Amino acid sequence: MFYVLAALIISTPTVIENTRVEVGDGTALTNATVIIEEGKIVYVGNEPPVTNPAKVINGLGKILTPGFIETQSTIGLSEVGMEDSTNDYYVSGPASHATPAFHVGSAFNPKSVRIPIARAQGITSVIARPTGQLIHGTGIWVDLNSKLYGMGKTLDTPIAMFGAVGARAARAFGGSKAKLWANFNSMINDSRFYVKNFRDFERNQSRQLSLAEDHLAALIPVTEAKMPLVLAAHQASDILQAVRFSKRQKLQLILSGGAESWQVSKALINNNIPVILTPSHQYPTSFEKRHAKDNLATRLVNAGVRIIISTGNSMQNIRRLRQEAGRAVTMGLEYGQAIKAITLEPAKAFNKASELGSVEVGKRANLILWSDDPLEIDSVIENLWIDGEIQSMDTRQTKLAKKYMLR
Amino acid sequence: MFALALLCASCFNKKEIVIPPKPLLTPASLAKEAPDPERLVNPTSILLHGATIMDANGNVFSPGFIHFSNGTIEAVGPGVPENIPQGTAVLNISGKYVTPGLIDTHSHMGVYAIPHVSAHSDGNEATHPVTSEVWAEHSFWPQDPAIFRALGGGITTIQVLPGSANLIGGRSYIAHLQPKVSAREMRFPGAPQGLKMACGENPKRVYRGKGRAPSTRMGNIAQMRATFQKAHEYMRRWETYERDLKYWQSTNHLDPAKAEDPPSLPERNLAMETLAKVLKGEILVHNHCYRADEMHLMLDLAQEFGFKIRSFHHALEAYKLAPRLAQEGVASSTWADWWGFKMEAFDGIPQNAGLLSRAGARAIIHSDSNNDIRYLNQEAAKARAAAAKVGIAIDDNEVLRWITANPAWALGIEDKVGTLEAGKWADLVIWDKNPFSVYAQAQQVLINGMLVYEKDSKTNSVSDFEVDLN
Repeated sequence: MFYVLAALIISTPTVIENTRVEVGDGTALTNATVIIEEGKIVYVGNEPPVTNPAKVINGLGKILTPGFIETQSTIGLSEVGMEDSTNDYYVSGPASHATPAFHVGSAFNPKSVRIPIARAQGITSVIARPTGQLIHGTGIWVDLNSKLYGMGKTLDTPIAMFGAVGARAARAFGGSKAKLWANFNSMINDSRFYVKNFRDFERNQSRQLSLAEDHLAALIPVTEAKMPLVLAAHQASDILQAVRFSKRQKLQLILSGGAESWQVSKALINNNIPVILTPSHQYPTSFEKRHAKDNLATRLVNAGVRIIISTGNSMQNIRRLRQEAGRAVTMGLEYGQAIKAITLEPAKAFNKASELGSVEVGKRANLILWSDDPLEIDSVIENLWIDGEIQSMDTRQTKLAKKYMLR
Repeated sequence: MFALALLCASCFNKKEIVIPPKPLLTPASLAKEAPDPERLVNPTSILLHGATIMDANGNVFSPGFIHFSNGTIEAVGPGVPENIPQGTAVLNISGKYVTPGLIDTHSHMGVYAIPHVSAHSDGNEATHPVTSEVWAEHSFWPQDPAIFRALGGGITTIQVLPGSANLIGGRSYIAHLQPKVSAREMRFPGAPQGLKMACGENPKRVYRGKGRAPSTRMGNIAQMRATFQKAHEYMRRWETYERDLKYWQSTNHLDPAKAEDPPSLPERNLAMETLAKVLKGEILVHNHCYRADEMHLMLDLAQEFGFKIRSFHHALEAYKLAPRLAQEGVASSTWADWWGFKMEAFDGIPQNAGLLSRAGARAIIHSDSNNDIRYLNQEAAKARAAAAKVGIAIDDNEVLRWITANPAWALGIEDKVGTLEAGKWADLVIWDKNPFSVYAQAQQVLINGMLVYEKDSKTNSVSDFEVDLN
């Protein structure tokens, strides 16, 4: 009896009707109905099939969006920024200048305090990623449903390799970016050499290589362009260098940061390189960002460059993602493009678009029903689903507030 | 032998020796600090009407008007005034919103200027935990490109503070953001200086790293108490001197022949002088403090030594002692959503400002960031939205006060700016939309009635650092 009931409950579809749908691909539907069943989106349109029984939500005056995606996060890898005992997103010590084999998945904590806090502002998926010097290591793609079990494959799957080629990374190479590029080139070459001469290497008959064996092995999917390489750079000349490098080495590059990328948009378009950017960070905080422009997102989209909006690895506050997208709109970005930059574009760039990133039939039901414009500050989340399951909007912070309200 | 010779010399000189009177040194003969600049005002009489006027003084006039001349507000009210003085420029700005210029109580612009190169690290004199002799004004670089961007966010006044490495970091600097070449020219005329103090993790971390005290929270408090004890003694020396001087002046000058020596001027100590001014209430205390228990400690310490804390800064746990803060009239400068970047920030909640307002305490949204300062209106709006989530309703007037009237009070300039009222200075922002929308942008920003920023204008001031970029 219990099992029958449970099965009934699980299979009861949820119908959200009369709502505006921001699809995620830049378009919107009005007066639409969306049906969720068994964790998937099973219907999107204006002539819904009859479902019975169903949980019906009237979405009149509300807006349904895909869950938002933050691609630059250390969530689940850090609790308190300055307390090293709570941090697992970086490694220090000798030879930490390039650690491609550093995969953060096994350290990920789905019960992090930060997860409900990010989710309560509409983040349903993140890339939890390492930081470091030249090559940081690999990140994972996680949904923010705080599940402990069933995470195995997610945690084991590297989603992308992360690195940086700016002035900060150059410090690990005696201070010059020129040396950094030379060493970077050797590492990629050595990874290919390692694949070809694996036997010699095993017999200790190989020449000296630039990285240890595990690191060279971890670079293989990058050299085969099967895994995206996310490189942080701001200065236009560094970005061009990264583009030339990835073209020569046949890598799948995603640029992050990109303050001066608007000056080299042609190279980015020609090589199909998307840019992860933070709208509010576009001002000259370093010499590498001297040509930063407040309307970077608009400039890139108008030039035809694909963009992903991010809070820029802002530690505790990835919840600002929708505010960042709103700022981009204020600076001239078309509204649908701003939504796309926090939904479908990140999903596409990291090869997740077949299951996530837009309100389309067949995709996983990571959805949010907003009281009003999701980019506006005082709009609130009415319902948030991950895989069709309603998620709590309570956080440690709302509980603290309520505790002290009673006094 | 030499002494003997001298004695003999006087033996032979029969003339009476007249010892010249001791020079009369009074506090007036001390070196003078550079004076405040004159206000730079727009003499024109200007009337703006048709807009929604949010005066941060309890009124939202929609539509309303604001009239100012000589850089000072003449009148604010609903509709259009009956009598418009001749020669007044009348501008219809219907659809727009007008607020007081925004005030940030916590900025490091100019002292940690961008670009962030090592040469621009001028905010912490982290060579001793007590550096009350330093002035943020003397580190302030008026060409910091961040300043010009803050103007575009509607910021008209900032408090520039030394960093929080030290228990007592030095004097703060209140800047009125009319771009000028020197820091003194940008001083807010008549604003009292502040004193930056810091509790908690930062001082103990910095000085533990240097192998000296303080290295614990108890060490922090011990050193603050020792310092204020010295300040008391210093102040008493001067008070005694001033009493003696007054007595001397009232008696001895009558008959110079019988004059006794005037009292000696005590040694002037610039570090102690700052703290003496704090004890006298002439310099306002701004205390970086995150945790509720530490704010309680600091309030007790201030009581012990007889000074007032004007505002706690960051104050992420202020909501836990909101009733005491309300009762003692202490403001809290906090963020909308910063939290968790260090342990003492772990209990930071976005409802902080809302809970303070609810308790009747003064809440302020500050930036501490050259990024957030450009969107202080949005930060306030976020704090309000968070409060709404737990059922605390904050109206437009109150949320506006978080970034105008309340910071003006914290800086001791509430008689000059912070609300739109007759007699106050014409510091105001004209927005294209309700300023608490993510889509709102400042269209024009005025200080003393002078246009200091206009959206998309080619004539806006830019930093010399960026002079080749437009």
